[in-house]
Amino acid sequence: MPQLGESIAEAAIIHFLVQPGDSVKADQDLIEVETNKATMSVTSPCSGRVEKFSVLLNESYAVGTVLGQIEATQEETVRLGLDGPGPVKNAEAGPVSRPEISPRSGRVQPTVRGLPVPANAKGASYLSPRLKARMDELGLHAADLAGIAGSGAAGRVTVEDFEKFIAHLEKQRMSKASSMRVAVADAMRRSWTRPLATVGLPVALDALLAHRKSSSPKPGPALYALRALAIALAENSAPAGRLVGSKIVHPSSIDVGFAVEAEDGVLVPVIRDADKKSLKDLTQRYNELVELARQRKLPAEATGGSIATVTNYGTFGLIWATPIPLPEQTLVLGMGAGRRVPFWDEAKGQFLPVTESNLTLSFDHRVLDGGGAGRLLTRVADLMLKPETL
Amino acid sequence: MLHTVLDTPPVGETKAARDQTLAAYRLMLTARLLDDKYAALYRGGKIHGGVFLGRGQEALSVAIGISLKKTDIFAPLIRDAAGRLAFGETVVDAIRTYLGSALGPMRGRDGNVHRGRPLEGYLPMVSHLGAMISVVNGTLFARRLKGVSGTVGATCLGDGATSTGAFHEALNQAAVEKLPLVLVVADNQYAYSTPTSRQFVCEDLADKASGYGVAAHSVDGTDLVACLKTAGEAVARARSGEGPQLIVARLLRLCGHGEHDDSHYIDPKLKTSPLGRDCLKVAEEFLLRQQWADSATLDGWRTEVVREIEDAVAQVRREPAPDPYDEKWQAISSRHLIELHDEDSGS
Repeated sequence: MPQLGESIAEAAIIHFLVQPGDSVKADQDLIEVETNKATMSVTSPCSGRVEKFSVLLNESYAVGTVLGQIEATQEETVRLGLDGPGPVKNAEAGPVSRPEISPRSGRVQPTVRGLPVPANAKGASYLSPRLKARMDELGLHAADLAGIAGSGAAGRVTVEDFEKFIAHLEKQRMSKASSMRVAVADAMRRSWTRPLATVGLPVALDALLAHRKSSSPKPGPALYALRALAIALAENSAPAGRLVGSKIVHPSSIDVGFAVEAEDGVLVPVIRDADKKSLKDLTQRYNELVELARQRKLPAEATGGSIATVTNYGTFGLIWATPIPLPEQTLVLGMGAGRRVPFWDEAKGQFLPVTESNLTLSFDHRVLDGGGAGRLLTRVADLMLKPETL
Repeated sequence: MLHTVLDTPPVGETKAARDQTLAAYRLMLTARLLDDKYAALYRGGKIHGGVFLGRGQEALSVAIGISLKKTDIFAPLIRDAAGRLAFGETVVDAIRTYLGSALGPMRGRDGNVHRGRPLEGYLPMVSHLGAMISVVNGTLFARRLKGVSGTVGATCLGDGATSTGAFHEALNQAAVEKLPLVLVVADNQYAYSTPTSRQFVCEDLADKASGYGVAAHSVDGTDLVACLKTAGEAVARARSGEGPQLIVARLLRLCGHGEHDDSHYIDPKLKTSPLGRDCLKVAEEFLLRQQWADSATLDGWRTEVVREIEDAVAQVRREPAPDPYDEKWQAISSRHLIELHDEDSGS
């Protein structure tokens, strides 16, 4: 499919002017096509016999799609240099060694009919075609160039700067990032495009710990926080909404995820309808999911689609952190390590020892403000003070 | 005043006039057949980027190209395949540009119409309408400052460009500086799809010239003989120091704005009017009537030109494409400019 206009990404087949088996001459009209601007004919690139058409009538195809095949005569093939020895190189290799490039398959992706241009643009800063080709080859993104000081016009990164950067990297020890690492990196980079903020407050864990001691099986501390968050969101789910364009998308069910450290990354199993089952009923499922996550064997139904995540960074001995919500979520509730601290008891007029932990709520500030986040977190903390109600 | 074949007095059947007309016709024919080939290659997916044809404008275009000397300056527009050939561009260079050959004047980095050889006075066009007038003014002014005299600079526009500020500023500047500029306007009835009734309200675009104090020439753009006469006179007057000359040729664009445009909006009445005549056919009939050529000769030329174009396309399709690793990505002439600067400062 030829590019029939500068802003044309595709065209529809409206008429076959010849049939398979027909002999055609070079430049002869073969297929009538329609773009969103005009109707025109696609011509034959050479003379020969139409072998087959590989497209359907009234269907739209992206620019670059193979429309069919013509068997050219031997004479024509040689004349047009269609086959045989490749093009003669007229210049010596440049300063950059040239690796083999395999043509990327499916470069042109079919788009919605009528979409004016293929939507595959990336990056805003100027990169020369030569540098782009080199980066594509190595599978790098524009973000990977952030650390390079460009020496080109207006500070642009030249291919020489880039090669120096790559040569410098090669002198250092490098290991391959696992696919888990690359996936987490991608999720965090996408999430970071939003304005994120964190609020926090301390909560006394004594009642929770006593409740846990008397339970069998014992719920993990994060599950208390998860259940408290689920109840709070069931009362008012608006803070977990997502901002898409000018609309808030409200959650349809209170599915809450929790972070489990697995090899070289973090997995987030999901407990569905966490507001509808008691802490006791959730405990076994929670423990199962922790185990499955550690083995990286989470079933599909226990991943994705959650509206918020709970992370217990206290397990690393941390008392405070500002975790980043998943890209498709607005909220992440964090829980720090419990510590024995003095608490001033007004009634008794003295300090008493209590076990306290910090709760943090990190959120997409476009959806939620400090007040809304604070009210939600306060409600979660209150619920955690009465574990028997969870 | 409008010149046509009928009211033009016989061009004095001198050998010079006959030879020039025959040469111009052959260039027009080459341009037309090249355009046909570009259209076919474009619709076969072999040309990337736009294809803009000059069908119906060959007589005007060849007339200006053939009236210039090799030492003059020529800044053609998108519909000037004929003028480019007349000014000295080779068929193979034209095809190399469209097919993206690394051996072409643009080294395969830019397709279609932005080609040229600036050091030879053949300026690559800027796409913005009217923008090339100032470029030609600047080149002419530079030559004046260097003491180079006797050269003319010509550039081509469409009716749409006369509505731009660039046209106004540059024509005024050329008049004030009395530059040897020849401005060729093809009033082809449509600026893309906008009819001239939505472009201007004066009777003839040539009327605009008097407002700038510039000499004007109106001509029937479908008539090769009239175009040759008008362009020849305008170039001679500019060369003799009479200041800028505006040529306005009325004709009809016999194709879409580009090959992506099916030109459905063109008024069918225009196609059958005298404006809609095909200048190539008009010229052919003139040559036969004058008995300057017979149909066998003209058919022979057509066969020769088709073969020349087909051979050039076959050759170019075997030539290498540009290579981002070999390419230096500098502007077209900056290296030459640096060399010139070094020479200047050294002398």
